Amino acid sequence: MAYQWQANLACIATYKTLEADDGLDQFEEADIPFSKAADVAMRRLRFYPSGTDNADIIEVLSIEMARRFVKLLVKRYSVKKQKKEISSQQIIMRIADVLAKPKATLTELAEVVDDAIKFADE
Amino acid sequence: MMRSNLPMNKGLLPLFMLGWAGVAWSGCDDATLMPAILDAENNAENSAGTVIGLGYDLQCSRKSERSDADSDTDELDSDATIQFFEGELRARGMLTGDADENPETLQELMGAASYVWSAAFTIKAGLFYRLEAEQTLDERQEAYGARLTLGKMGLFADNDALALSLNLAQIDPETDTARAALLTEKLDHYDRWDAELYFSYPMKGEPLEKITVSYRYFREQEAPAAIRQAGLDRYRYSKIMFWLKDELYLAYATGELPFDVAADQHVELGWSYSL
Repeated sequence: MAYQWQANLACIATYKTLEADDGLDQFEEADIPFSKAADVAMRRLRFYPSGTDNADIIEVLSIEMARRFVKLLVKRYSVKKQKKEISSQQIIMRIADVLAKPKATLTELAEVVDDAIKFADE
Repeated sequence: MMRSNLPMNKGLLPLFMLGWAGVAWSGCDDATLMPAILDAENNAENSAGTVIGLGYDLQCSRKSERSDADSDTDELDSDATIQFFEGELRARGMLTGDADENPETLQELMGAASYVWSAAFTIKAGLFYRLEAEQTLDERQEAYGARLTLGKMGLFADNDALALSLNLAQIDPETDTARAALLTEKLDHYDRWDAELYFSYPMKGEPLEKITVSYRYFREQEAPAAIRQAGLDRYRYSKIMFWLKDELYLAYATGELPFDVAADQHVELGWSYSL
């Protein structure tokens, strides 16, 4: 069954980290409320390198963005890796892979976060 | 570097392109289409006005197993160094109904092997093979060599992005009418480097979402005098895009890319759409 966008920690943390003015500030809550964010594509985020078709540039900037995303998650939430044997760089790369795909959605990003990252309250 | 033995006569080239695009399409990853209205500036030889275009970008990549440097702890390290090897296939370009009026006629097919490293910034370096052609496929050439891309976010604002991409290539022209007309001897390979500088600045105000600037530069090394005098030894192309909500954009471009039909300036109104 496909992952569902819902009010769990992974989806809320994904949304808040991307939306918050003191977070990554990728969109405005007035334009994209949480309840309508499930199908929002990566290409709609402000960081997405829509102004170039250079795949290398898109890839390196997606890695940069993934690291900033994880850095803010660690700063704002009490998080650990879901599985010890999965390395931090694997987690950052899985997030970067989603961020690099223009049609990937916030739900897909939250699914990776849910699968790879454990929140303290879970 | 070895010269490719791929069948490049005009009869087989479209089949080769279609096959490669098909692999990229069905293989994996991303297929992006970008419908656009293009307004090419007229010149003496071309009567280009407003044309409808379809940008395409088909990609397929495979990455190596990544290191398990901190697999003995459950702490999440956001500063972890990233490194891996990657193999890629890609097809991209802009198609218009009348190929002769396409202001962005450069079509590219590429295969590459790269190494990626990321810590304080991100770097990607490797080798590539690329087929470049105009939409009609009358003009085409192979390029192979080395490439390097650097990227960094948060240089001037919290979430701005700056990237520089460099390619150093040997070019093997299969057909190049303009070049052949200028040279007395038969077409021979030559060295060329090209660069793309990309900058993105996020905006919070209405109606702008962000502004992106891209500058591309191509230069032939030690070009023959006839090539230099005809201005075929270097190409510049810059594009500024104003992104509005819902992926609408207004773009202004100036300059030309190799094989372009003298598109000195054009304005573009369009939107981005992914399949």
